[in-house]
Amino acid sequence: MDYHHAIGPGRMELARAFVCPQPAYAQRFNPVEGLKHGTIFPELVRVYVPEPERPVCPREVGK
Amino acid sequence: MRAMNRDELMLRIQALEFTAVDLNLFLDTHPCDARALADYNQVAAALAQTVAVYEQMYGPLTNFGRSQSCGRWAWVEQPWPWETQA
Repeated sequence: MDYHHAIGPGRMELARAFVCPQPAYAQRFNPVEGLKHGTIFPELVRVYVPEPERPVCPREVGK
Repeated sequence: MRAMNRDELMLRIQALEFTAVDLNLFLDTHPCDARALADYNQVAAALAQTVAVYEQMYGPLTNFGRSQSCGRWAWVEQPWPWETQA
């Protein structure tokens, strides 16, 4: 499936999927903390790479 | 469950619903995890209890037959998520 769209300046990347291997169920945040973090699983907090270290999409190479 | 005001009840409902969704997603890929399943059932029971308390005090949260509307048609009078103070 092509996740790039031809609208706008250049070809815009609409989405990128990251699949993080999730260990066995160990502990979770309480409901309010989970809501604040966007996940009930502490090991999934801030798994995203900061913007300066963002890996280059293969489609962006050579542009 | 200790006495909570309207905003506290709404925050608890939102938080329990989020927890239920996240546990639901986990159980979709780990259906045999007994601890996660027990937690899901505990959260679902707490959510149902909290919704019942809220609706008894402040009116229905949902329509389409999931909640009764006593006295007047009131589900639409509940605050939207961005209108809560919590």
